[in-house]
Amino acid sequence: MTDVQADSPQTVARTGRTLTLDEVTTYLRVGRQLKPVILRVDLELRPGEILGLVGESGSGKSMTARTIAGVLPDGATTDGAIRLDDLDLLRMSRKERRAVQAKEIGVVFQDPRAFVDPLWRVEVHMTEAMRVHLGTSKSEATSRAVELLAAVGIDQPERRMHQFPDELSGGMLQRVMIAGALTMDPSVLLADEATTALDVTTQAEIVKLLARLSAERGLSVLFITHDLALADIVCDRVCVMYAGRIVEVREGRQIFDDPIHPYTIDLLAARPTIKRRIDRLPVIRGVPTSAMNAPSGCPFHPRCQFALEACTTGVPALVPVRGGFARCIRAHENLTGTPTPADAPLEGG
Amino acid sequence: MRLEVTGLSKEFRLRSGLFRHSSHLVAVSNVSFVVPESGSTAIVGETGSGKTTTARIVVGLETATRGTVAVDGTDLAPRPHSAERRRRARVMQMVFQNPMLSLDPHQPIGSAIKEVVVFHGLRSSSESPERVFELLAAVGLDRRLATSRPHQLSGGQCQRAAIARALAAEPELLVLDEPVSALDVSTQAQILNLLADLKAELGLSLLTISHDLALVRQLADYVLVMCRGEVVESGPVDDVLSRPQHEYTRRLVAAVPESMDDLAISTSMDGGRGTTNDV
Amino acid sequence: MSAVTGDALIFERDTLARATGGRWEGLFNRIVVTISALVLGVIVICAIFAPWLAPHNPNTIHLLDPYANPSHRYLFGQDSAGRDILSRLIYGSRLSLLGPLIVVAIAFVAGVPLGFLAAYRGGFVDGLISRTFDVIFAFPALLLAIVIVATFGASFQTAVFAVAVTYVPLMGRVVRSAALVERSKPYVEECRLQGYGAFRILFVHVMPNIGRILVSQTTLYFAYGLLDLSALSFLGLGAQPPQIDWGEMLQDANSGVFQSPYGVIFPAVAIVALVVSLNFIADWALDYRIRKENRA
Repeated sequence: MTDVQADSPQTVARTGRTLTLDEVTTYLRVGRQLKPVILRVDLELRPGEILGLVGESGSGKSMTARTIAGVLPDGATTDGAIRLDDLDLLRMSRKERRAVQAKEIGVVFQDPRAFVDPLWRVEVHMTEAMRVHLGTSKSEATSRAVELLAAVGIDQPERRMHQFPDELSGGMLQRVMIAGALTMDPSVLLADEATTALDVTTQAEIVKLLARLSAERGLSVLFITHDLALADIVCDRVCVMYAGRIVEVREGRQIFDDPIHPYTIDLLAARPTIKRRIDRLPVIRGVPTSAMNAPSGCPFHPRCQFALEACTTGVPALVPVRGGFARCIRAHENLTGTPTPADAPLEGG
Repeated sequence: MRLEVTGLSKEFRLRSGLFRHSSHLVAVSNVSFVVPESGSTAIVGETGSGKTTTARIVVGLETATRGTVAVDGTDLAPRPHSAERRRRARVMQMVFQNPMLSLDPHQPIGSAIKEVVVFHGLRSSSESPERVFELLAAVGLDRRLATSRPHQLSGGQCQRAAIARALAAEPELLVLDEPVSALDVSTQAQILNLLADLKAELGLSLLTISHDLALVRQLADYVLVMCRGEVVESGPVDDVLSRPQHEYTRRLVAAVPESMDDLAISTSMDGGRGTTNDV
Repeated sequence: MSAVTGDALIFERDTLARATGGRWEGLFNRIVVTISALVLGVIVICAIFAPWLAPHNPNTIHLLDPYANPSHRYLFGQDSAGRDILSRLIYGSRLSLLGPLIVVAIAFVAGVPLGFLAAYRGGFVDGLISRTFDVIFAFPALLLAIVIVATFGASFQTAVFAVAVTYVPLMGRVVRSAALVERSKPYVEECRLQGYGAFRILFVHVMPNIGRILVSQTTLYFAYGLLDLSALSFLGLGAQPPQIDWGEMLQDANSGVFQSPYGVIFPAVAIVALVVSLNFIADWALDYRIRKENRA
């Protein structure tokens, strides 16, 4: 991994922990077979860092989050190592692992309304975990909850405690979710498309909130999104995933200005921009693929405008390039996007 | 065709409690705009802005409390029955947000398209398969997919099928409700190009509803910005997005990730506290 | 805006749905459903081929051997009038299958249109239909059936009609709910936009999509209809001799149960086996499309 230190937060309230994924591969059981959804993912989330995980369908970004949080369907298996400092979660017993995951890893999902019991008042939602896992008393849990609600920018937190989810707006509810994820004082927060379902102005507020929380509490955040532009401004570092693998890792801001991997280049070129109308949006032919359906060799090669014969044999390794990493044999050439013929192929996805 | 919306308002009456205290929810308030011949207009707003309700009133899925919708000078009936709807379907078609849900899960897409063609009497049953293939080709779908059901197709393919079905009625206006928000970025580009092509080739007018300002810039000539049911700003898309006048529009433009130059700077300014957006 | 279901989310949801859990989970289900299908198959064969399968005439009386235990000649024993239980069981399957079949047919033919009408028209029509259903629901089904039979005289036909009446609102209510759910979906709105009439929307579009539910419910009603009809026959209000159905066999065996339990055991087992098998099949039918989609 790159040795460039991102700007570390000045005052870290507590010693954060490093989350490391080492050659992590997750398989899901489909019928009688085991099919991979993420392949040999290496990832390091440093204390106080906001790491972005960007990808489209089948990229494996959500599966990575689920693997870390331990919410995979029955029959799924994970190879490799997931370490919190020195603790390897995969080598622990199920019970121990669950305890660590509950305490150290907070999760916020995309649609708060789908994950919240509409019959539970906010206070129940907030205090439940503390009382069950930590045995905290009701009064103590309540005051901590109120404290956290205030910390995430909710006004009149005492009043909010007594409200039901449907009395809160989407943005407010997502703030409650974040507060809820923080009740156990985790070292890592997984934000899985946490702002995707929100209005753009609310999204802006929530990402600012996450940045502030990270800076104030030394909280590490794994920020998962499909929006490269969003990841670019929010995250200290960004990883791009495709077909279950990490294909590029860059320091924040560099991914937008200087993408290395052909997929990233194409992805950036294909977006409409608010600044002007583009005559014809350059299009990546074909459809995003998943790990289980990936072709042999580089998973992106059938869609890649720079593909060579050599790309069909063997998956490229992640190599250090220009201050980042990319999984491409042509990474050292300074590839710039040439707009691909933009007509949609017959099998357009 | 020219679409003219004048003074459109929609109030929902909410009854709460046993004693019927009816309160009003004003979803749309005095909205007026025009979509000219072969024009492309967009309505932009956030949740609760009333943009979707406006679109639904235009196509006839909701009834306005006040105001009119006129096509080429003739007002449209507010409460259309099937025969009236059938006529309206030849003029305007809607493409919904979630492509998987807007297609009959049980019906192969070719059959769905054929149904529209035959229903409107545009081709006889025996001639229709050829037309179906024509339409599929126009949206970039392989004709072999005609026997597929929605769940066998990707989101992008479903949306293309939905567009093909809309085109099958040979309308003059397409109303697009968040047409690409449910799709991958790479697929979005394909669909946007497709829509631009179809507009150019068929002379279609487009009315696009979206929260995505970049999409609006790409697709529309004219834009209306709605907030809490009212139009707060409108004008040519370049003017409104490059030089927003209204405070709300400015806020929208500033909140787009591309516009947020540096999160660190904006963090210190705002502190990430809740604003009046969150009630 | 409501939750944006991205291609990515749909993909992920599909992927998770395809992940079929443990190895053995599906296997147990498959075994159970196969056995159920076999049981159903055997009973249907008995009904169709009764004259060839039954060893004796089911109505031949041997008054000298009432309640006899199973023997070489009479494999399941003899009932109160010395008739062969096995043969009666086989012949009894005919009415025991026919009865529920007619009940279900009536419930379907009357319930589905009523449910659709209520769901589609809404308002006053819905109110009228739903309240009528509620009135029928207010009566315990069996009691209502008994009242009807008592009014019109005990016979197989009246029993079937009476039970059918109690199932119409059940089917109607299920169809109404399912249709209402579909009605709010975009594809139905799209149909309305095109100007499709009610018939087309309901029968071409909505019905195939609620098919799973209909099949599953129909199967269940068949099973419970069998129970209700057997109960009526048991009370002497259904099939009358020389008609045979399993409930009627229970009625006959009831008085002699202490002399010979076989008259009770065999028809009871037959009824239970059929009802349980149908339940499993109904469950399986409900998931059928999902499994088919997953394999695609």
